[in-house]
Amino acid sequence: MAMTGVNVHGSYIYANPRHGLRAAGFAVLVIALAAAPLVAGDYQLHALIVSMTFLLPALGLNLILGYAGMLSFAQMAFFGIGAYSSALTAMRWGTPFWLNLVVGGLAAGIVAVPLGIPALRLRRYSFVMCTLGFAVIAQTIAKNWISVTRGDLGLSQVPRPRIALWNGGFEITSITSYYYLALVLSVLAVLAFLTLVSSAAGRYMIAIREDETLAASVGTPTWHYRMIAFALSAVFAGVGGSFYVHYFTVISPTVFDPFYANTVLVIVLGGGVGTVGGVVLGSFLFVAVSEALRIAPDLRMIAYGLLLIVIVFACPEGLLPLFIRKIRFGGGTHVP
Amino acid sequence: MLTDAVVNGITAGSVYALVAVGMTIIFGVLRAINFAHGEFYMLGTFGAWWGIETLDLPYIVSIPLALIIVAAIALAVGVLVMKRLIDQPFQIGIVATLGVSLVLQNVIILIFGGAYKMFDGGWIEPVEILGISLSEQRILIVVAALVIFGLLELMVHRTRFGKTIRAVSQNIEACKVVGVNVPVVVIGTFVLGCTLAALSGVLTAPVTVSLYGGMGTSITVKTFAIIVMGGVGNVSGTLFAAWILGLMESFVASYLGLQFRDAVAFTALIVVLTLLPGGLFSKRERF
Amino acid sequence: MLDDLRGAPALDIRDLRAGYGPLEIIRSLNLTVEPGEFVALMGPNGAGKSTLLKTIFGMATITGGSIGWDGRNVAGMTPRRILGAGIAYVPQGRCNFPLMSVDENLDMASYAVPKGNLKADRDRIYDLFPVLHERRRQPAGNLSGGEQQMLEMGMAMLMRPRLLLIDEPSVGLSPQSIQKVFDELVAINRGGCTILLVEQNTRKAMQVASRVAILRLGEVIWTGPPAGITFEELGAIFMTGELPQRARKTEDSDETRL
Repeated sequence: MAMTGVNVHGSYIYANPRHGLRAAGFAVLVIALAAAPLVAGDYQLHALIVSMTFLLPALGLNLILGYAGMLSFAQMAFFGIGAYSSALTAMRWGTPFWLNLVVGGLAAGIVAVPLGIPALRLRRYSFVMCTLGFAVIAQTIAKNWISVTRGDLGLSQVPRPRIALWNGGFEITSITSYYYLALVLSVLAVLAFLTLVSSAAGRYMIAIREDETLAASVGTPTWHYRMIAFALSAVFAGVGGSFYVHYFTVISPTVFDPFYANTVLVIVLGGGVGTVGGVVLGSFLFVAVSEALRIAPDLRMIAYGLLLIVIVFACPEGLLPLFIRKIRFGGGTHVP
Repeated sequence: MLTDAVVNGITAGSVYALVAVGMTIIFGVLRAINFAHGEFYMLGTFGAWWGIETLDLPYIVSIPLALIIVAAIALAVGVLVMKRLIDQPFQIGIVATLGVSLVLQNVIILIFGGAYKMFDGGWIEPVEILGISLSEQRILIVVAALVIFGLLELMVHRTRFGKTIRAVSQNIEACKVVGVNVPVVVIGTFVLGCTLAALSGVLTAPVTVSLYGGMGTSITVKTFAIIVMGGVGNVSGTLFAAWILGLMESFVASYLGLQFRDAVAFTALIVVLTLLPGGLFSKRERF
Repeated sequence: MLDDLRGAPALDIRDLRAGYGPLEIIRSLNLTVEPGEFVALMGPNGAGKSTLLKTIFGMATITGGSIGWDGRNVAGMTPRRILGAGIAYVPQGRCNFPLMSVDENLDMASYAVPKGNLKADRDRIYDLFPVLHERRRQPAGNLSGGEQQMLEMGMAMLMRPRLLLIDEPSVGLSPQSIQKVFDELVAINRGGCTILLVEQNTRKAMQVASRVAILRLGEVIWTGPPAGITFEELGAIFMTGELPQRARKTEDSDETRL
């Protein structure tokens, strides 16, 4: 039930005393992933890279849905904004890769603030509709602002990442080097996410999700923290978009299609909303595996659809808790 | 150009209204937004197209055929999925219906292929009324919308089923206390709402001509904008909001450019929500 | 005496355990109610009084025990079937259809009655609560708290229950309305309907009830006639959770005070 705003059990995720265990699991996963290029072929590495690009917007959605309790469909709008702004900056001014990432993240975060002003006053489905609207409008702008975005053609020949080093640096071109870049980014993103949600701001967000009226009555500036969650979720998505565009080197308005937004939703809900491990699991399971198995898109979407239905009713906490239920069972503190 | 824009706007608005009113009554009883609603519009169109192309039926016969097929599918979805949404938090409904939408859309693509199909049927002969030339099909759409809305108003206020729908949307606990069979009402309302969406699809197909598996998504998305603007659960508000959106889109398409049309709904929605969080026609009486 | 029907309890709750999800509120509760009794459930907040009514009506999760009613176990049945077995429930707080007229609210209840006749059913309730007749075309949400409470009781009575479960009917009502509501409850009880009442207003409840059952932490810890316990003793139970010595004795020896 951790996905709901009225959730009563979610808090045990953060009160879990087995942090050491989680850290160990995380380290094992990172080492396994770091060793993956030794055994995996280019196509498998590509699938892993794609799943790691989805990990960032998924972490952003996890922040706003899992921690602030609001279901936002704007993630792919911010992902696209990050991708476009990063690509345009790089193409126009030849900026270095790290700066493009910053530009992508900041652009998304900055756009999120004025959008959040009307949207965050809304509750429940009105908020959902409003954020869905952002994606629709972003797509219309991307299609029609032809002088900048080149409309439906999209942008191509986006520069590949250049890593500046003492010897002048190098351009990332091989799949393996992209893979390591994605892995480093993902690890940093996960660490940033963990730091964020265990900070005071993270606790306030959880308090607001659990009981907004109560949080407000004890003086929590609820609007303020919802805005922070919304803007930061956009930053995560924007950085993801930036990496995406420098990997694929092309971008078009199709990035705003509901297909991608649905994939992000499947990752977060299917993996385990309100957990980091769940989102990581979801990214690999739902993107890498289906990508690597080369499942036909229509069959994959049917499977996604059935999975969504089964998950919400059978295991509304996502698949991660199923995997680690035994471990969790002893450490859970149910708050009635 | 002005009269064309108005006629197109009212026609499009009536199409949206028939889809949206189904979603709004479903929302009323379930407090769940049906992300699969546009898929039932698509299924209606496909049902009629299949009747015409494969069974060689005339359009008029393929209309009830399509409605029966869609009602059966809606019944299955209602029993398997929607019934379980009673008393669930709203996110559960969003995710479950999103799942239904993915399944329906891609099953159709799997069966019929992803390419666009041509709809060959309907009454597209132009007729002249008060100096305005328009196709018979457009008149049919507008008349059908008016008749259906009249019947819906009568139903919710005069019939037992209608009163029960209102009761479920007002207080689900009280329904249990007086012994209303809530799951049956929920499934019945869902089938009714989806069949109305299908009717809209069948009636519109001769005008829009092309159909494809993914056509429901943009309808769903516009319908969201309409029901929020009309005040969620408000039947007559839905009709007016749908007409207003149809007219706005039509004017934007005529005077600014067709490519901006699809952003109108959400721009309007965001403006409306910013100014009036309760919607344009927010009043306490919902039906 | 199995063959003596008058002696058999109408409601026979044994070792009942129930609550919401993993939360167990009723713990090993035993209670029997004779036909025609008017039982007031009392106890501190969280004792499980409201949950007990909900559980009997099939709106809570039962984890153990049985609820005998008319010789069959209704535990685990849906509210609709329980209603069909002759048990009606009036929950705490407003529980009507606020945007529908008084007439329509009563119609909703009539629909549940097999062979119900909307007009005759309404008239029967309007005879019982004339004030509702005056406001029959008004939306229920526009009625005063007392009128809404009477409407809800009317809706329950339409279903011709033999056991009425009623939760906190006096909350938020004016003293005048409270008196009216309790007068009606007494009349309903005299008409032969067994009543199980949860009420915070202990004075009022003890005036009308034929028996009191005191709950604490999901168990019945004392039951007897209202005269068997004083307000001071009740207050002590609420404060300390302990049964005063004398009341304990009363229960055992079955003698009444005074």
